[in-house]
Amino acid sequence: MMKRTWAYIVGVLALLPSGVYAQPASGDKGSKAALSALEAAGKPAEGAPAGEAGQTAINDQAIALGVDPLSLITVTPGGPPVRIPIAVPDSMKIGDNIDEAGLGRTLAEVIRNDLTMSGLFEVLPVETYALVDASKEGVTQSTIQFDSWYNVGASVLVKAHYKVTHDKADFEFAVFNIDSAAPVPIAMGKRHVNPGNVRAVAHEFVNKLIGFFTGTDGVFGTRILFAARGKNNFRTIRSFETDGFGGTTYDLPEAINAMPEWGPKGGVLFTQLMTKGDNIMLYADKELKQLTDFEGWASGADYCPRSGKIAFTGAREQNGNIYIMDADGSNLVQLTDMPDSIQTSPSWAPDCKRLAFVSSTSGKPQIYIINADGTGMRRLTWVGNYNTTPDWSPKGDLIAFTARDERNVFDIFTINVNTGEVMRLTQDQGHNREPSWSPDGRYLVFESTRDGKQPRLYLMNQDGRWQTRISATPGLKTPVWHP
Amino acid sequence: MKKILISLGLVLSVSFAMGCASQEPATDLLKDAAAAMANTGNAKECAAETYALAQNALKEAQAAQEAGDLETARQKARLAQTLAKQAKEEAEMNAEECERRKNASAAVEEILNDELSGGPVFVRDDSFKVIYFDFDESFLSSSAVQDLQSNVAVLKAKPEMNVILAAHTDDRGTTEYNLALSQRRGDAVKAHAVSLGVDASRMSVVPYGKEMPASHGTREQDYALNRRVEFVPR
Repeated sequence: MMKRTWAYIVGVLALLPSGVYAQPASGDKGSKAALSALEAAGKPAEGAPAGEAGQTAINDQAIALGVDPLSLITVTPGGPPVRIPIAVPDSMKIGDNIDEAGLGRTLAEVIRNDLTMSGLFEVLPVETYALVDASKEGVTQSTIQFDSWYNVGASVLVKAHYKVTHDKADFEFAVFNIDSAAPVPIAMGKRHVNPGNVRAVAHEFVNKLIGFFTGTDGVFGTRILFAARGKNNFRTIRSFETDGFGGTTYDLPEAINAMPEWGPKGGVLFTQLMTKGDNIMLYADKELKQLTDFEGWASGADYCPRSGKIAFTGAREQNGNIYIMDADGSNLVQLTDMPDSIQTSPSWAPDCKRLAFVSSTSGKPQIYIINADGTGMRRLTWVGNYNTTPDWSPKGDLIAFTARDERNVFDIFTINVNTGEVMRLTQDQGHNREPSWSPDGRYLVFESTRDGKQPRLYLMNQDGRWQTRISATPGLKTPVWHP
Repeated sequence: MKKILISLGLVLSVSFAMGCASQEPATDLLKDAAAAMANTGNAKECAAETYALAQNALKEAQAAQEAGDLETARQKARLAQTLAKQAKEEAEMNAEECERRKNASAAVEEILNDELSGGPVFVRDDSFKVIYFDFDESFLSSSAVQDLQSNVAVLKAKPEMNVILAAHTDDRGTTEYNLALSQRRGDAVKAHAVSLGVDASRMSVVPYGKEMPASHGTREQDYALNRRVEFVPR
């Protein structure tokens, strides 16, 4: 049989997390030329971060050309990245091969769905290899029909077997490189668990598989927190896993509960909008605690696990400003003090030493950066006139945010903290808002109205080339991925 | 030894399934999707939108199969199956609220429907006018100032009454910035009322951002109705 090399694909994927696709965004030829001219006009000195003067020149030039600078930034064409063709036949039960509880099928379905959502694999439809008699195969190399799998177009084959003894299930996995007819060493031994944990085992396996191909384990099965429609026309806080299953509704009092955030010790922070004022609450160990007591309002907590500090927006008889406090609400410190503009939406850098936030001190909301001690404030975004909801990536290099363009359409962008380079990740698919990074920095979860008036939750990779819906449930807002 | 057992067993049981699958794969998927649809519990009532999406995908799958487009039929059937499962999960999450709605009379049902996409409804006091704002702005237009003067007159006539200034934005924008913008609108109303002689302690601003729209549409006239500050006696 002819050997294909997929080493190059693996090579490309291995680079993916560091942004091999992160080319500067450019649109059609017309706007590309305009963009080049603008870049030349406003180019900052080499090595220096994009400064105010340079960026102002870009804005001025753009306005002189009669275009909104934001409209020049368009999604990079080029389609989805190269994906590895992979076959995942239904899992087999060792012994009698009767899948009476549907365990094997669930196992394979979760694996297939995760691999598809990852954007790294092209999962071959099960019917396309109906002629390969997978029942003859075990989890050892000598039993695998490499020629048959090659002929159906698979580069990688996943075999999952299980056995039920008493009330426990034993899961066993094997992965094969079809082109080199060799096993792929995945660091995933047998798992002896309750059958009810089948989804968790499937997620763990996929994460290990992604780890082998990219150098960084995957994040499937981690949780995403969000605001949802609640009872009696209130709003409530819920979470589910990366594939929309395993949903939890937190037992909170009826109110407009909004802007959730993962808090200390597995707790959930959120903002409660009440007639007596808006304040930040912590729900942990089935107990509810009010952390702030602002006469005006307090909202949008962001917790930094490494320092244990919570940043939030607070207002006392004036516009919002950024505050920091300990995880129990003590040691309150006011970080910004600008009474004439709105300061809001703080987002910690992963090292907890800096924050990104929104300020309208220039007249319109823009993203700023400030040190945790209140020094070194600088403006980061210079294009567009409505840049909000910054979320600092776990690697520290990028900040994702929501911007409004000249058509009053909302889309998601990233900006490089050091170079100021802006990339557009969504375009022409409803409104896209409120991005939140995955813990590995490979994906963003966000809300989008592309499938209806009410927002639903979607996932995309860090350059936006791969986008997929997480859940069809409408009315889900402000998602936050567990760090 | 173990390996031989596996092989023998699998050959017998799976070759049968494979025989069907290779002939009519799209049909099998459609059957699975239809079965998933039948097994969604009360998703039709309790996860209506997602259920409708699933139903639609199944219809498209059936249409594609009849038209001989088996690839589309398979894709849509798989989608229908996933959506049906999501609808089931969603319905289970919503079960309690759904039960309440099902038990409500038809007249109440209409109100509940309206509520579900909105927010808690304040008891409006018709003696006060709603103060409206321009897009993305918190300054008081001349018509807003007139309406505010009317509200100030009411407050002066009822010196024992205190009010909440419930401040809102339209649905455009992001959640927290809208919260801040609505606060600004509330503050602008309060400051002007104070300048007209109302004691500041009688009014407290509560910002709601875009969480409690007065109108649920997405037309400009709907947005205009939502950019507002309401006087609510407390």
